[in-house]
Amino acid sequence: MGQTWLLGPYMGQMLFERSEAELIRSARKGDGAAFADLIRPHYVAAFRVAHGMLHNSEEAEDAVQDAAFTAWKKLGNLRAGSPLRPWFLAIVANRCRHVAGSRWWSVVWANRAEGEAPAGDIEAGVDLRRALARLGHDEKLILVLRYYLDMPYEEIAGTIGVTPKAARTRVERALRRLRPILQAREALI
Amino acid sequence: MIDERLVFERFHEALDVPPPSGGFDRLRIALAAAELNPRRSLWITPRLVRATQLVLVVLVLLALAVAMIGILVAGHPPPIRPHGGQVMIPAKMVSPTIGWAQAGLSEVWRTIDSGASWTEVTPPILPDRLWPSQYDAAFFLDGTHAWTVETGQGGSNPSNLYLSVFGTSDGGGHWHQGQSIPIGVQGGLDPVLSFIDSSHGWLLVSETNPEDIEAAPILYSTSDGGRSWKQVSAPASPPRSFCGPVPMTFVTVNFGVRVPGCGSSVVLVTRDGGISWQVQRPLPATAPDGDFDAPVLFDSMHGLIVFHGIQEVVLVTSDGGLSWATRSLPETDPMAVSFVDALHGWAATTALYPVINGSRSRVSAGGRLYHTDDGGLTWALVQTNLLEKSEGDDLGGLYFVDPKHGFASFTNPSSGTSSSWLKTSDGGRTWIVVAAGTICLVAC
Repeated sequence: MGQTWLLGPYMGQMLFERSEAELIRSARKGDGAAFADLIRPHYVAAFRVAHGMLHNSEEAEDAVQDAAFTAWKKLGNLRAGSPLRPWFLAIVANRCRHVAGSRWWSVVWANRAEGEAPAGDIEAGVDLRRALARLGHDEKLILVLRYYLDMPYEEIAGTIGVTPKAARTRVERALRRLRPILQAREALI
Repeated sequence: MIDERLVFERFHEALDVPPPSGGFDRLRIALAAAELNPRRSLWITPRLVRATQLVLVVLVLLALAVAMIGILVAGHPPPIRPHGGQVMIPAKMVSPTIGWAQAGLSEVWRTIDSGASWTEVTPPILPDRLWPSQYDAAFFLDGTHAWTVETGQGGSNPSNLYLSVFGTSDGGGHWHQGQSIPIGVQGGLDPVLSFIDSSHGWLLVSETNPEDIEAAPILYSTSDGGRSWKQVSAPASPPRSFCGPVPMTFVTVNFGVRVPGCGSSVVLVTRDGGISWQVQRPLPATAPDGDFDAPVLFDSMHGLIVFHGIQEVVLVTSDGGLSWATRSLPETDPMAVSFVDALHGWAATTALYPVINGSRSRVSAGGRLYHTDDGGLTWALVQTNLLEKSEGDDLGGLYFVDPKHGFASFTNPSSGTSSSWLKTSDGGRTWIVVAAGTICLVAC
């Protein structure tokens, strides 16, 4: 296996992809680029978790970056053979908890970057985001994992550290709290 | 009923935003440029440098403004919240000063100063441990004795899973590993531990198979502090359709109670150490389903279980679980409940978020505290500074360890992330803040 990072991150990965175990070894020795490549497959999911929790793209990007540094520092806690994704997403979620906790403002944005959705959809989205904003961190997180990241219960369980059955129960409970909003939208449609 | 497909659609409509252009490249550059030094806890990232520069500029401008204005305007400084650190909400306080907590990734922590500071005492990790922590459980008996259970993979065949119990008798300084318990399961596990002393304990294992049908739980017991285990009950009988860990408590070698994880209102009582379980239905058949807290048993005759239905009630037994009486709580609002014996208990209102016009509104932060000294027959309002100390946060839980000493946790309602941990030493009349900051869940 050659070190091909001078070719650029993506080209290098394509030509000489390093195994996850090798990336973990390098990252533990202090190779930040190796750690970045280790979490590259999970970056989009991490951003979606952060955005689902924070509803702000800049904050979400920052939260993922901070979580990445924490995860790098804590990489020694990851046992051999353990899945990286739920572990990393758990740290992202925890970072979002910190970010939200340090906020002195709160905004539920109505305008989306795409700006092309029908007005009704935008209203529905705002309603749902407002409803999510009223939930506690854990309830919001489990709904985001389930319905925004489309995670199966097994993976949700791995991310939040409970059993799949408990994950399902928590999803159902959290959803129950959102039900008035969802049913109201359904009635309007 | 809500069509789950509709929920998926609504969430994607509401939240879908593409990842920022170049976001990963920026992260990779920051990571590659960061100086990784294990002795340092802080990395100098470009964003941190920018933030530092911004802070310096703001400080200089502030200093100039103060110099120009002088100290013409005098005022009272705002109250300072002792925020700043991280707060760990204990799994169990076993005395006014000693408690245990679990954080994500299977960390075990212990405090000896009422929760002001914590020391990690995580037990050893099985080399082939099934990860992450969803297959684990822990039980904290007193200030020095605790047990955890881990699941090992035993190779790639899922039917080769095994459980291993770790125990400590010196507050987590050393852990001993018990014998492996092979468990031929195909799905997830919900182990639950309960010990009555340093020797006698039980391990209940509920299996969830891939078809999501829960097999009957299997009960093991130990009489040597968790070093060896024997199966008590065959995988049979008691009503199932449980979900999640099944709260179970033993108080003598014979008397134990367990309740469903959720969605049912039966109580299971054993008087023979778990060999047989009697199914009891202490609530009216028409009562809607709810959730039980873990049973709290005080001696061979007395115990209680808090039931969270449409409103909370306390189920009380004084005949070793043969019959259960219902005790109402002092308010119909949601309440946190804590009893230290069969007579003395406290209940406090928790945050109230009713659905008004289709959305939830916070109408109460909770914190009204009541006391009973007759097992919940009557309740008296406690004159307390709990509400003032909570600073408007939501009461999360109430944890009394004896008639004088107790704890309460609060969470900031707007963020859900800041928390405070309060202590009383006079039965709930006066409270002090022990710790406040952001809640520590994982990778603290």
